[in-house]
This record gives sequence, C-alpha cells and structure tokens, in this order.
Amino acid sequence: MLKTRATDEAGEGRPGVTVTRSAGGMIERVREVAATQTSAIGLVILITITWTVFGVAGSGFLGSFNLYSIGQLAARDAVLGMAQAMLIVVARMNLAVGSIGAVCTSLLGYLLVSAGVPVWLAFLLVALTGVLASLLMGAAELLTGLSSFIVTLAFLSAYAGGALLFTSGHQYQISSSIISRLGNGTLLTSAICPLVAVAVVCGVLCWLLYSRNSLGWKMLAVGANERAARASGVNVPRVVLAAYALSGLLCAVATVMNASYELNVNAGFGSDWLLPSFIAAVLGGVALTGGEISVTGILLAALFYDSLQSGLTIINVPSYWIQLPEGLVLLVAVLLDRARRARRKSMRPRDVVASAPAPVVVP
Amino acid sequence: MRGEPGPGAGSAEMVETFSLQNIWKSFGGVAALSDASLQLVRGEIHALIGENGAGKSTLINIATGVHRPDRGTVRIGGQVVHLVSPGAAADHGVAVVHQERNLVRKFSLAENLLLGRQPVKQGVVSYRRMVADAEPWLERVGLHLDPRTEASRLGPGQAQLLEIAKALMRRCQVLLLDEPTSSITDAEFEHLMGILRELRDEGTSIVFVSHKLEEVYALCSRATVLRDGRNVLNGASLGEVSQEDIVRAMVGRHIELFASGSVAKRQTGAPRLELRNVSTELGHHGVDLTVHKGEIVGLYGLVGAGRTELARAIVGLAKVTGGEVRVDGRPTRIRNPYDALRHHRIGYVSEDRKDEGLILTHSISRNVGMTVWARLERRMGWISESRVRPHVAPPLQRLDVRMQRVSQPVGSLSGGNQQKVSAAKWIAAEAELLIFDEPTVGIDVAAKDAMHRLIAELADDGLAVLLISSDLREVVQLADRIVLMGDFRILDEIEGGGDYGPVSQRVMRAITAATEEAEAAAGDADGAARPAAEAPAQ
Repeated sequence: MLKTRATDEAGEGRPGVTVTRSAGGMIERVREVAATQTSAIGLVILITITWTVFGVAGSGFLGSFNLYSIGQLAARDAVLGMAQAMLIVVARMNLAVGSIGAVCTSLLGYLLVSAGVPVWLAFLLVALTGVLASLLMGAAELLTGLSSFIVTLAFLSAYAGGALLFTSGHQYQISSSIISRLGNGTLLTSAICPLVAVAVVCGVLCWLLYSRNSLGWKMLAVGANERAARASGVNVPRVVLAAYALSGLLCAVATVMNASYELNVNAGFGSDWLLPSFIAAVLGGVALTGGEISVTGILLAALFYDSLQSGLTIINVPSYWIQLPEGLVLLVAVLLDRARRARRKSMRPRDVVASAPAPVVVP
Repeated sequence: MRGEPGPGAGSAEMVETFSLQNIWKSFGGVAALSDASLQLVRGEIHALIGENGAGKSTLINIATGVHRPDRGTVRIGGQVVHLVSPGAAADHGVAVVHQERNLVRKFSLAENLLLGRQPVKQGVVSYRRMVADAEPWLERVGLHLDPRTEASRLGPGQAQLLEIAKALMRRCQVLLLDEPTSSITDAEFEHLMGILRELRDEGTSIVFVSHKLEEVYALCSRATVLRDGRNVLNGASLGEVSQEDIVRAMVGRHIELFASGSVAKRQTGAPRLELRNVSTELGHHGVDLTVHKGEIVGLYGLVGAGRTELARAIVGLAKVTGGEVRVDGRPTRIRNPYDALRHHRIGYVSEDRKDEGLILTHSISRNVGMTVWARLERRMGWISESRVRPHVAPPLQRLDVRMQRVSQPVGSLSGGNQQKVSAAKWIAAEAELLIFDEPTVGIDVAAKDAMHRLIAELADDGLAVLLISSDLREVVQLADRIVLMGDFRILDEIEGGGDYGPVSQRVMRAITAATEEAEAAAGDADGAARPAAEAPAQ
C-alpha cells in the first residue's frame, strides 16, 4: 500500500510534468463530481418529494408494513436494473431479463419442489442456468453480428416458451424456511426486508467491478467506443460475453429474490420485469449510449419507482391506470439521460488553455 | 433575391466590417481568452493562427454566437451586436465552415444547400425549384455536379465547397473557415484558393484558420496570432513578418525544428516484422515489407494507395488472406489487436483519432492505461487508479501533454494533445513495433515537432517504426527507408535520410513511373493508380 502511494507521488510530483493545480482546477473538479452525481442527487430529491406527498395524501404510506413491501419490491427491481445495466454499459441491451427469470424460476421450483434438491445446490444450479442462458445470447450476437436488440428479443420468446413447456404450466409451492425468511423475514426493524441487504450487497459488488476491476473498466471502454477499445488491444468478444454472463447471473439473483416473497411460483414469472429493469438503469443514470454507470443511481431509482407505484395504489388509483405513470417515468428517464449528456457536452469546451505557461521542451 | 450570387462589388477602401474587441472568456475558471481581438476589413483574407489550445476555436465560437463572451464587444459594420445564438450570427451575415462538416449524407446536394429553407408550393416542397435554386450556387463554388447527387458521394474537398456554397447562399459577409485544408488535396486547395480570392474581391471578409504557414502566406494579407488566449500579433501585415516570426509568436520561444539531418544514421537490428507475398481481404497483393528493430520505415503513397489498410491488416483489424507474416523471424497469424499487443507487442496509432484512437468521454488515465491494465491487474482483475498511474504518467510527461489532471476527459484536450495521448498509450504499453498512421494531421507546429522527436527517439531506443504519412517532407525527414505504395501494391523502395529536394524528386518519379506502368498494363480500364483528388477519404 505504502509503496503504491510513493510511486504515485513520484509520478505526479516530478518537476516538468505539466499538471497544473489551480483554484480553477478545483472548481472544475467539484463541478465534475456534481455533474456525475446529478442523477443520484436528483433521485434523493424525487424520493423525498414522493414520500412527503404520499405520506400526507395516503394513509399508511409511511407505515412500517408499506415501507417493508416497498423495500421488498425495490430490492428486486434494483437487481434487475443492474442486470440490465451490465449490458447497457457495453452499449447493448437485454430484452430477455424476464424470460431468463422465467427459466430460472421454473428450474428453482422444479429443483426444490419436484426434485427435492437442497437449497444451496438449487441456488447454484439456478445461477449457472442464468449465466448460461445469457451467455448463449451473447454467443449468438457475436456469431451472427446482429444487434443485441434483435438477438435478445428472439431469445425472449424462445426462453419464455421453453419455460412454459418445461413446467407445463405447473405451480410450485416453495416451502423452504431459508427462502421464506429471506423474502418475508425482517432485518433490524420490522420495516426492512432482508432482500434490501441482498440488493445492497449486489450494488457494492457492482461498484467494485466498475471502479476497481479491469473487467469493469474494459466494459466501460467497450461501451463508450468499441472501435477504440478493440484497436487498443481490448479483447472485445471476451468482454461482451462477460457482460452477458453477469447480466444472466443477476437475473438469477433477481429470480431467487422474487421467489422468496412470492413462494408460490410458476413459469409466468418475469413477464413484467423488462420495464422496471430499464427504469432502474436509465433513471439511475446509466447512459443509454454505453460507457457510463451509476450503481447508487440504480438503487435509488428502483426505490423511487416502487415508492411511486405503492403511493399510487395507496391513494386508490385503479391498477389499470398505474401502468400509465410507469411508462411516463421511463420516458422522463430517457429525456433526463439526453439532457444530462447535452449539458456535459456544453461543459466541455474544445479549447481550454492550461493556465500555466508551457515549459520549454529540452531536446 | 435568391439565385443571384454574390454581393455587389464594393470599394476597396479599408472599411472595418467585423470586429471582436478585447474578448474575455473562461470555462469553469480556466481562461480560454484573455483580452483577445480580431478585426476584419472589407474584402480581405485574414489568417487566424495559434497552437492548439491557444483559443482560436473559442474565438470562432464567439464570432458565430455559439459562446457568449464574458467581457468585450462584437461589432458588425461599426454597430455593437449581441450574437446570442448561431442563428443570430447567421442573420448578421456571419457564417462558419467547420473542420467537421455538417452535411446530411443521404440528402442530395440541393437538399443540403436549402435545408430548412426549401421552396414550398402549396405546402409541398418543390423539388424542381430546389434543384434550380441550388444550381447557380454550386456553380459559384465550382462544383460542377448535378444538384440531385447524394452528398455522401462528395470527397472532403468537395464537401467543403458545398459548405461554402451554403454560407454564400445565406448571404454571408464574413466567412470563417476553420482549418479548411486539413483533409483536402493540393489540387483541391488550389481550387479553394481561387474561390476564396474571388469572394474576397467581391467584398467578403474571410477568416482563414490553418496550421500550414505556406498556405497562409499564399492566401492571406494579414494575420492575427493567438497564444494562451491573448493576441501576440493583431492584424499584422504578412508582407512585414516572416514565417519564423510567426512561429516564434505562436510558440512563445524559438524552436529549433527537428530535422533528421542532424541525427547520425541509426544502427538497425534484426527484422522485427516481415511480410512475405502477403495478400489481404482488403485487396493487397504480393506485399513484401520488412521493418527492422531500430528502424523507421516510411510508407508513402497517394490517398487510396492502401497504406492504412495494410496497417489494419498487420494488427489484425482486417484479414490476411495469403502469404506469410513473420514477427521476430517466426511465422505467425495476428487475429486481432489484442493478439498483436499481448503476443507480439505491436501497436497501432490510428489516423482516426476521434473514433478509433481515443475514447473521448473517458479520462486521460483510462485512455492511456487501456493497453497496460492486463499487465497490472492482480488476481481476478483487481486494479486501481493508483496502480495504473505510475505507468501512465511517464509517457504523458515524455510527450509534454498539457493537461490539468489525468482524470480529465480526453475530449477536453486540444487536438495536438489528444494525438499525444493517443501515442502515449502505446509507449505505456511498451510496444516493440509501432505503426504511426498520419500522426501529425491537423495538429500544430509544436505538437508536430514533438511527435517527430518522439518517433525518432523511439527508433533510437531500438523500436521498429512503420510511419504512414501523406506529408512527404515528414517521411523524408524521419524515415531510414521509404517504401512507396500504390493501388494496394508495393511500388518501390528508396533510401531515406537525405536532403528533401533530391529524395522527394526520386519519390515522385518512382510513383509516376509505377503509375504509368500500371496504367499501360491495365489498358484504359480504370487507371490503376487512382488520382488523389478522386480517391475516397479512407
């Protein structure tokens, strides 16, 4: 640790390096941080507003029972958002999150109920299946050269159909106490579901991936400019496959989370996952063009989305109408994404002069 | 009024038509312009010169209403105006032609010209009138093409002319040309010069931004030089200042421009890369090429000769379909740039800096580091910025990249510094064979000099260098050997390192001879060596 820091200082502080440290640089830096965190800051404000409005307008919104169920749903949606983000980051998308969920749910039900496999082994096999199902899509994309939109759309129906065939519409009643405690127990207070901790752990791991792991860095590079990444010696196919694998793994995690509070599961699970996965990712500040991510944003966006839904239900908006604001939230999220990029662009003038005079080049 | 080209010929007296006075502008606390001025008189071509990052683009953006000055005044015809938007500037007769062209490639020339002001008859766009309206303006700039031609068929030089026609049609009095010659051929430049002179004689005031001082002297009467956002020369008459004075003004010091005449002949080592009878999916045939350790091989040819394509095939961005590639004497196949870097230490500094050389939205550190992560990561890929920094800082320092922080996005740097970052990446990677593809296009004198020094130093250190350049002077200056390429074949090879005059003559003679030979062989069908002016950009 000490050694790293020493070399670091030597690298930056050596005379002749034209790194200028000025008040202007500091301000620029603060601005930069503020700009990258706009989505998180904005979401905290949105959540506060939502909670205040529904806390006043709807009775019981801020009660521990309601907060518990918001957390339960938001945790799953956050993980779905991360599953989606894994591919958005590499400038792709995963339309089949829900269908992979259906495959995983069917398998989980079959293994636990029909096959009587131990819980840990079932989890492992479900995770493996999620990864493989997603990897298959990645391989198909790389082999055909088609866009991820088309490929994952094709697999969406293939997997959903396959799951139905496999279970023949069977319902599985999961009775494992470990699973039911995960989805219906409490954590610290009666207002927090243990699933919240699962989502936070996933979030921390994602954050580590993108800030401290070369795979995450390469994923960001591929997403921002695939040609440049390839020309710089990044093994693009390998990185893309890894992104698909991680997306599939997170779908499997979301499956277990979903099953843990529903308990009575079938192959129809996952059919409504696509919209929340996109809302959590895009509203959370994952650039649709790739190459940028905010894990905090995803967690907060999921919380906002499920707070809004719960609030609308509490003030007795008919469930048919709730779908409308859902769609609107996605639309707003995309518009925000665009505005954010436009603003960042205008903050980046082409012609900035380094404020210190240039040192003379000594040949 | 439309359809009648050009303003009435005015008197030639020194009437100030457009002026930017004492302009200040800063971005996020960093001053881009401090008290900069630019004064234009009616009917002149005025050069605006400065290194990358000197503030030229900011000044142009202020003149065209993209940015608003923090302080200072803009006058048009003596009246103070506030150019609040690009639209407002256009209304005042100020037009700009950027380096990056703003054409809709799928639209016809006429549609591009009349974009946003199509003639409408009963609510329907009248194509016939559009074509008729466009024709005189295309003629005006010497584009003798059918107005219905698709814009994507234009070469870079022609696209430039179309942009100028667009500006003229909007009745501009002040025309700003931002590095109009960085991607066009000599013949196209001659043509452009003729058009600009005509416009000048008709009373248009033209600002000409260029790094090429020969062009400036050929075309302009006065020059304004910026350095660090300030005027070093303000409308100096070019009859009274020499090129050396201008360079000194730009750079702020006297620079001894690098010349290889002063360098002792390099000792070259074993062959690093050998191509034997190589053909590629891009159309190369029977290519033989050897690059030794400690040697700079210049690959020269006309645009469209297949040089960039050969480089791409070498690093695995295109398929080698026949022949043999040897690295360090061993036959091998390079499937992709990952292979090239990991297993053969070959790097490619792309000519397409913005799309392939760099990730503009990512930081300097991430861009340079991309090639070294694989070497630095711990188990499971764990890595940190502080681990990468010691490997990223020295190359940046060696190339004297002017930046505020390594965490700054590359897109915020000037063109010359971006190019340096693009090269720094491969120095950090400790590549042993480097292919530089047009390393000095569109960058300023000092950055160009830095690139030249770097390339020579790398070869002195024992690296094998393949230098692709359309700048013959650069190739003659740097290369130990010059390989001539035409029509995806190797034409000839010439000893480098001599005086520019005789060597360049031999090069041109060899190219002409090979071209004639090829044409004779191919008969009348499709002259084998395509003339540069008609060749596509890539």
